[in-house]
Amino acid sequence: MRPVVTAIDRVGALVLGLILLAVGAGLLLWAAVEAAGESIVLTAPWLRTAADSAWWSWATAAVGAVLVWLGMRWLLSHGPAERPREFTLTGSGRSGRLTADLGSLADAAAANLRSYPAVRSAKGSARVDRGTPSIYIDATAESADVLAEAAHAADEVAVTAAAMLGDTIPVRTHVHVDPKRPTARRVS
Amino acid sequence: MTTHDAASDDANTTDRTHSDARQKQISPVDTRSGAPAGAPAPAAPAAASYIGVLCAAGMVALGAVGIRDGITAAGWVHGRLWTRTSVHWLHGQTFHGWMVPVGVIAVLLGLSCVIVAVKPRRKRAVILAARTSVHLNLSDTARLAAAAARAVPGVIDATARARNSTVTVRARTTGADPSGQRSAIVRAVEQALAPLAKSPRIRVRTSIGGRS
Repeated sequence: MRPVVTAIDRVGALVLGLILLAVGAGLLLWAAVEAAGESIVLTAPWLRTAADSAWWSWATAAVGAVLVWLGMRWLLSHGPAERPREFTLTGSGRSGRLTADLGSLADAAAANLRSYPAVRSAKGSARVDRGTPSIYIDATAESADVLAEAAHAADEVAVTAAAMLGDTIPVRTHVHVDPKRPTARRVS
Repeated sequence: MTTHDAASDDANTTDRTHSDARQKQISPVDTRSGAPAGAPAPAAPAAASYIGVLCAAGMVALGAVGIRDGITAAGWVHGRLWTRTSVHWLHGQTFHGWMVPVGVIAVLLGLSCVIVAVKPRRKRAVILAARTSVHLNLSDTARLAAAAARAVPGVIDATARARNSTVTVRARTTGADPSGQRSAIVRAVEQALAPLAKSPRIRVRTSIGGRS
């Protein structure tokens, strides 16, 4: 999820919280005043006058359309993880543009990692995490006993993959283990 | 059934921080020249994101009400204007008993929303000793610890829970040598979690026979 979406969510949660706090505190204050023997009647004459105007329904329709548009954009911004576009390599200039497909590089890195005996499986993908295009590799160690070897293999593969792009793209490897799964020995 | 809570025991025996020589000096991402750029640590979605989705859905619903009133005013749909009716209801409102519980609930929900809005994202993985960003899920860390504890002689069953810097193991043992078994469990878990960049604090709680 993009950082700006998370920031909007936080602001939304904060505004909602403050509105609820204000409404709740207002109601409780109202109750306290009533308990003290004083009666309060809520009035909003300007709002009632506005609601009775001929333009009210058109104004609500216009505001409603804006709210629906904004709400839909906000909802859709919570979609699946953003995939990075082509990565522009250093050396690009007026004479030409050099690009790399991060998804292909992630796949190749995962395939390389799978060739290590300590790694049972690996899958690579390119994502944008918190605004940064990154390569992700999900790997499963052959067994819990070879976790350190699997981590070392992942490290080597990550260094190689990152070096191809001038060490500018972060490579993150998630190693999984399944201690219940019996260790299978490879013969080749 | 006797329960031995190692966390409450002498810290030297069962609750170890491992800031000794075993502590590895490898940083999660080597910042030397030639090392890859650091990847952000895996984190769960911000709790505020769920409220954000609710707010967005509420915004769409409110907008739909406004549009519906516009359509009603145009004569395409018969009925009263919901927004106008709401304003009429609000104007001249007097106090009612139901407003007290509603006020309390609103205050509690409001406080929760404010707390969630500023709450940082929860980490869900720990760093393995490597030059690049290599992580192990907290759930996998717990599974490793539990499996290591179960392999200790005298342990009938074990479960574990992992947090950022603490692993808590609950084990059912035969009770032959409680303190010895606790130490053995700590050693086994330490060994299983040795590939981590930073050794977690290990807490062992044992119970004899029945459920831990």
